[in-house]
Amino acid sequence: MRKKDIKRINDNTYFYKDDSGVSLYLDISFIFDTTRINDIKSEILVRYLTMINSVYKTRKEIDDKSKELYSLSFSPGWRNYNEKSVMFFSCRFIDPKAVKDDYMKDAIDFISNMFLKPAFKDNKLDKDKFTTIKKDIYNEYINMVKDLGYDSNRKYKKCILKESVSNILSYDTKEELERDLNSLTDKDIIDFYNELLKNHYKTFFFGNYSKKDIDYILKLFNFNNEKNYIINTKQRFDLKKEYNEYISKEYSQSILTVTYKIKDTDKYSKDYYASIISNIFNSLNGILHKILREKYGLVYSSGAYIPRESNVFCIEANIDKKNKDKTIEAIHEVINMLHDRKFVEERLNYAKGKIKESIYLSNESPRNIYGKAFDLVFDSNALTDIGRIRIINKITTKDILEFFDSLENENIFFYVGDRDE
Amino acid sequence: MSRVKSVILDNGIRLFVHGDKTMKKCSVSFTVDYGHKGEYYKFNYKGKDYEVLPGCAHFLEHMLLEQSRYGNLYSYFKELNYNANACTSLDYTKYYFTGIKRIKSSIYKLIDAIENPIFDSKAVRKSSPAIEEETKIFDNNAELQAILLSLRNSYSSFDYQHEVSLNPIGNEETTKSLDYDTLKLCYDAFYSDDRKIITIVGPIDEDDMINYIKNIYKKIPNHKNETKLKIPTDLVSIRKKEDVLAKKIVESDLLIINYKQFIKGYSIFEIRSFLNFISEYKFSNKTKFYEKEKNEGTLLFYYGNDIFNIFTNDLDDAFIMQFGFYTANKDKMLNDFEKEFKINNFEERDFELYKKAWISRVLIADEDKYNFYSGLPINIIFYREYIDFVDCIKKLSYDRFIEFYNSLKLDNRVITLLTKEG
Repeated sequence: MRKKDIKRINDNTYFYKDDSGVSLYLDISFIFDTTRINDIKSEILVRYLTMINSVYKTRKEIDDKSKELYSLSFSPGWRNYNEKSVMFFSCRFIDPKAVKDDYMKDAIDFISNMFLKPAFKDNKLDKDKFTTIKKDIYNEYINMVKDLGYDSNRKYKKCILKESVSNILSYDTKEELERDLNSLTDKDIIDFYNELLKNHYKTFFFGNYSKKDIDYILKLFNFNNEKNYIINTKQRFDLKKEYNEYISKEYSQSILTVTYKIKDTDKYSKDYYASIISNIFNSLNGILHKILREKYGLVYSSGAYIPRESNVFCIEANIDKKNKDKTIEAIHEVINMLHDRKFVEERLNYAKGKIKESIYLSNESPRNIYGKAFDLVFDSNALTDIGRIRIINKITTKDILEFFDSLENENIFFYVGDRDE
Repeated sequence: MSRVKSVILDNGIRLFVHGDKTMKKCSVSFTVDYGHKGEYYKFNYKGKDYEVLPGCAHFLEHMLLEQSRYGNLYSYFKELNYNANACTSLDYTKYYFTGIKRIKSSIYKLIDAIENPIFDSKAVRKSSPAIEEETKIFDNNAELQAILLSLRNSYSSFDYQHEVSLNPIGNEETTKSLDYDTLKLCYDAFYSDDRKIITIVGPIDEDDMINYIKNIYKKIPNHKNETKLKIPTDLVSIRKKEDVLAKKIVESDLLIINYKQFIKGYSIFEIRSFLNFISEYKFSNKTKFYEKEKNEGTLLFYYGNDIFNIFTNDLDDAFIMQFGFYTANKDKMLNDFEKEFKINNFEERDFELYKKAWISRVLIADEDKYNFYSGLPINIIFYREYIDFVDCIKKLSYDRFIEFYNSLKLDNRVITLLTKEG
């Protein structure tokens, strides 16, 4: 797909016409400031809007109506982008031609009720639902931190990375989360909602929409577009050199994470470098698998990654606690292999071929095309397929060698599974 | 979704092909009707009885492609930029790849690796540590262990789940004890031709591909089915009506309830569809029951069903409805649940909405052609034949559903409580 295939309807409204699938996507977005408390407010708001509104009073009514409209999905959510966050009201309809039913007006009215007619009677939220939502968020936090992967990831981010994006999992304790949840009033949520609607970011249509339907949607969702936001998607983490260990008596498996700071951040923080690195290290043909699993039998799964637009390179392995030192040695062995020019050249060429082929093949799926178009609309750093391929072609063996030569500040985080068997 | 051409080869292998010149990739899967469910632990092969530990199907899945005459076949597939992997479930083992180039030679290598295994004791010992690590992933999934324990307790004369481990792929000890002889035995017993399904979809000529596969198999000796599973004679009796599983990692109590049913005259598709409708209609998070119970500290965790789907096809009428609830008061919750279950408040409109929504979801999922075809062999194993989902959904009848619902009983019940270790 190409950037010029995304048509601009007005200042902040975009349309990509695609008739290869049966889905029609609609994303309407708004901006708010990134803070932990705003994250909680967003979470409460999106749940509230999907449970009740001034037209449909119960979840069942909403669900029945959605079924009637061919499983129409309405899924609000948000993403943090450093200082600013974006709230998305995302919908998916099925093409009326696919079901031979001219139902779109009904569907659009339904969506309009879902988020333009919230149940804020007398400036109050429905008391039961508000209480239920807070309880749910709290309970889900409890369940999430029970998960080995989540808990390890959260702890290493806290220990090793100075800043990380704020979200519910950044709470260290359930007491902290509970305190914040309890502090929020009806007014806080309603004010947050009202403020949100003043800060429309962008609207995006994807699919085989008719002009009539687009016009109707724009008429109903007529937002103020005076402000023109530019979102900074780059993330910066500051590393301090240290070793951290956390012992868990609940789990039997351990997770070892080794991180490095990437020196030349501006050059290497792009996500195409992340793709190249991922290809070299990961999957069944990657060097992590070959060394850690096939050569030494230390792991079942391992992976290397660069969190998006960040300056950190991470290698993670699920291991038995007794193999910690051997695994660290094996990881050093892997990193040393990447100082060999011939080896790197071979892996780089392979990675380039694989990435370019994936790009080519991904355009078969309407869902993938939608994803790419979405990125181009909402992320100023996103590249088109051709742009990505051009840049990948320019990456040289020397670039990759320099990347690995420049890694510094090794940190080791060990989440120890110490359950008595 | 478009038609699929199906052929049964002379040796009994089922082959499904679909040519679509608009597709860029070719998607190939080789599925064997052999997994890690209890029916595969005790069997008779060539007149002799055997009993094996859990994990054989999964271990074989690793051996056949990782230790082939071509080396690690996944590495070969990755060099060609394929997406390739394998998986083992309770009911099947599936090997698959998707790619663009050298498809025919890759199909040949895949078939050759599976049909002519070369792994030996040394290869088994070499692969064991990674598999032992893999078994530990399951150790931290207490909920799944509770579900499987519940299924094990539902049958007294049948080991749905092996007694040594609630982990379907075994644990560290059982994996260490699996040797070459055991794995070879399981291969010989269960990789018979009548258990195999091959699917090939993509920009291919269907007849050309069928002939290609037939030619490959001309050089491969038939693998006869000489195995008899130990069919339980009694599906009614229950091993243990109530049980407790205590685990450190659990925060709140989880109650798993199984209800065994014996109802004749409904297809597998109908049974699954009707049970899903009941669960969704009465107990999903959109219902009044759910809201009320949640306020009292109960949360629906899981609903599912298990149809006694063994190879001989004789016992389709037996199935289990299964529900899982996090709850602070299990007796009250159980009482509320069964009371709600017995209320017949199903309206035809709701049933038609359920069908309409399901059809939409199928149409949307089938936008991805590879997604559709990758599910094909699994659907054939579950439903015993190739079915057109949209067509089958449209044919579901509200009257038959009511009749089915009225036949359900709650007296044949098995309960498992998952709780924090005291």
